[in-house]
Amino acid sequence: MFSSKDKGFKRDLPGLITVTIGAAIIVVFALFPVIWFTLGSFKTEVQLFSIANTFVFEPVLENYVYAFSTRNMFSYLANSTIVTIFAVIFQLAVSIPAAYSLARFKSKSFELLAYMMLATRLLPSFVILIPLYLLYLKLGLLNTRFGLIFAYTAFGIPFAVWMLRGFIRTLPREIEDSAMIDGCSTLGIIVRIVVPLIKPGIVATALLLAIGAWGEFIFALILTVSPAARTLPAAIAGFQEAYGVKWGAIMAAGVVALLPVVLLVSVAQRSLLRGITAGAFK
Amino acid sequence: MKQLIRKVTPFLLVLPALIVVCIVMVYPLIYNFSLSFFQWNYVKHWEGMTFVGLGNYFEALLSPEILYSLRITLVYAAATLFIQFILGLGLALLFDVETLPGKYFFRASLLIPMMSSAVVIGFVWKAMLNPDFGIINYYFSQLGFGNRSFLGNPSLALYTVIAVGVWAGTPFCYLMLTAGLRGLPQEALEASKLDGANTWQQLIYVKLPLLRPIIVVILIFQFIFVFGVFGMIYVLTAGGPASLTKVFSLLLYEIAFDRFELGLGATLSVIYALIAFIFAILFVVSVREEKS
Repeated sequence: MFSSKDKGFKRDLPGLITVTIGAAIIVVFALFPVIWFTLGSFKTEVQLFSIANTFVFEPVLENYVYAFSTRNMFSYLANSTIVTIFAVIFQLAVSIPAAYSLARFKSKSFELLAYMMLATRLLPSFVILIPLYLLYLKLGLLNTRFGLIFAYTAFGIPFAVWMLRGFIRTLPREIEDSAMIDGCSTLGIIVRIVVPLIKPGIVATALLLAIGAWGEFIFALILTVSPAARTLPAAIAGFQEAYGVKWGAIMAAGVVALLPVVLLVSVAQRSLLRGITAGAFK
Repeated sequence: MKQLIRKVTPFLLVLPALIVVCIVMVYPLIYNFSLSFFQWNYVKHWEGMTFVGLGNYFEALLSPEILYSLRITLVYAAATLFIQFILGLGLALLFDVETLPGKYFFRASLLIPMMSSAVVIGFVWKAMLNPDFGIINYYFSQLGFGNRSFLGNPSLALYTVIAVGVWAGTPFCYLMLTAGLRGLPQEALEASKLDGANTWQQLIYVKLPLLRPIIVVILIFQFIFVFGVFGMIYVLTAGGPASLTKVFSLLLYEIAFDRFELGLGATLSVIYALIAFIFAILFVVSVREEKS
């Protein structure tokens, strides 16, 4: 309805003002909580309570120092990073061939397979919480980074396969067919032809997978216990159990967890949006 | 030999993915199913499980605690989904994201609530709503409404949690619906205008029907997402006050990992999966019917 393109800027000043004010209100709603929270991470306990000085205060770093020195933030941060990176790598490594196979090879059983994989996406992930916990207990995978990576890989595969399959389908088959005639192996086709062609799609998928892995909470909470393997979300939740609610540490840790997301969103916006909307426009 | 390789290749390509998914998802689902017929308290009966047949299911379906939690979950899911969809639709209709000034900054700010970890969102709002230093209470008391504990007050807690859920989910609906609206065929819209349709009629009779496939996708995804809410509420209220916001996921977690009733936990998992699955099938079927 309101769009600053409809009429010339100069002629539609009321429209433009409405749009800008509306946009500003939306931005405030979306960002204010996060900004306020970030500001709070730089406040001492005393400053936090003096609400009149919400925006004007002398920032301190003591919360961050506290979180990193006495609360193992380095370990949690490292774990989150390692788990996320490796989970995405494995997800892609496993999903790209699978997506190619499901996109190119037509057979009834494969269609069924594709739908079954999709079906697992429809289940809230924690329905497998208990058995997975018991399985990991038996296999000694509890409180290991690898265990978490393995689980996250499985969670991401249905989504990744579905997305990548969609991207691969948009490619014209002629290129692959001629490569096959030239004697290229299927794996060669995937690696040397398909992947470069759908690189934007892979990047978009990878970013969404990374954000999912970075923020995953339930399984991190259940499958890990100590700084040996625990990731940021689970660790931050732990900050409120131990010594009452240590808001300073929570805010500092929260900002650390938010930072990559904010960076990603600013830098890779196009890609993220492509990924999100591609999911819907099957 | 080459023929054989050609034939087997498709399966080989899918195999690694299949193996991982089978180990982490399929086997646990099956195990869940069989475990649901046993009573097994992990702490008390370390060695043994007792077969109870459908006993767990009866217990679950007759337990006021469990039924209440299920009700709360459905209320939360339905309310959050409905509100965020309407808001997202309204915003998409009013403000076409692509043509706004400061588009990049605008989209970035929308993406942040969406992409942040549920736990972080929970803490951000828990802090904002804190009765002592939270900024929301500050303005409320300034406006004369008095100091309130949004998350601790039994009559407000569920609404508050729904509000946070709406905050986190509306950007998704807004962005998707904007994309959907942009993809609508102009001819259809022009034709309806020529036929004399006003904006409202155009919305109901032209735009929404054309958007139906996307709407269904949005609703399915978001429903699964809100139905499975855990981290956000865990942080905000931990299910309180007095179990008023104890959604199914939280109850399941408590039964399995606080009370160590693994058999009952498995039963609840199966019930949960069934409900989610049924809703998903219903959605998909409704799309199919539209198409034919």
